Amino acid sequence: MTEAVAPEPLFYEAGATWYWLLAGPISAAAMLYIEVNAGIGARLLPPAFFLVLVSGFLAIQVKAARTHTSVELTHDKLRQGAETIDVCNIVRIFPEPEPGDAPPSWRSARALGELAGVPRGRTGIGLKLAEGRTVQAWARKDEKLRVALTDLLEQRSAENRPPGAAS
Amino acid sequence: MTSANPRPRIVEVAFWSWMAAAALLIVAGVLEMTMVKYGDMRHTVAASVPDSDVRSLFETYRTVAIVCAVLGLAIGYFAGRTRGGNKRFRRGTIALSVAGVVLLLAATVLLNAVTLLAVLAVIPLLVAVVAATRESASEWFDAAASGSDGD
Repeated sequence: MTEAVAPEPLFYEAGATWYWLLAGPISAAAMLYIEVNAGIGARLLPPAFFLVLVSGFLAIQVKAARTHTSVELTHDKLRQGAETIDVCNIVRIFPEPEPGDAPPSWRSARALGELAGVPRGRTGIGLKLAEGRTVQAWARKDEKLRVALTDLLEQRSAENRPPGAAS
Repeated sequence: MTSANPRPRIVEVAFWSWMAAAALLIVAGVLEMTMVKYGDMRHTVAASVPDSDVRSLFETYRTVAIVCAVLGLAIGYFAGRTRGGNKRFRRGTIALSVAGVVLLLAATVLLNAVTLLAVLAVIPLLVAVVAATRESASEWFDAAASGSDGD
């Protein structure tokens, strides 16, 4: 009996790291430091209360970021947040603009995913889809995603080439 | 407050910085609460994205907006009590400010979930914390506390 194994993604970004939760204890420590140095008198209850408050709120934020700003590329699908498109729908990857060039028109195209625009800290990659639409994929490591997408498209066009056709 | 212990300028700076931050946070929170609507988000997001994901994003934005507004109200109230020389409220306002700075920066970096107004509130919050923890401010709060003890 063989078990179906999920294919290793060609590219993956988690969207946000759980290390953000360390900001809770760090802010509590900062508060304690301020209390001691400002002569307010160190009391543990306020920093402890805010540690729970800050960590709890950050946990909500990180969980949301991991859902809505994560990226995954497999052989068949490109997932950006909660939106998934078939890789076979991508017909072209627009080249990156040269420094000094005017912003290309795909920069104003809709960003994939459910956020309004390309998320902060990410760079857009212009994609032309089969139905003629232009959209923006995005990633923190946009160069790596671009290379992975380009390789995938080249591989797909080689597979679709009729046998015996000159390369 | 007695004239024997006049309120130093640094405490006034802290108070008005907190009030500016409170105003920015309240306006930003209320604006985001009223302007971000589930129907509009559902309409702009691709149809292939499940409703549950759009709903969870909407609820995250709504939560951030409510936290901003409540934080602004709390800082405004606490700052008023701090201005009167109350050491406990001074501690609370500083704690709220530190927590607020962390939360606002996280919400901005992680999901871009706050408006520019709320991000701008970080500056007066930091100014207020620095001003309220200066030595001259501490001396005034100590004197105010001992004055009220003696009453």
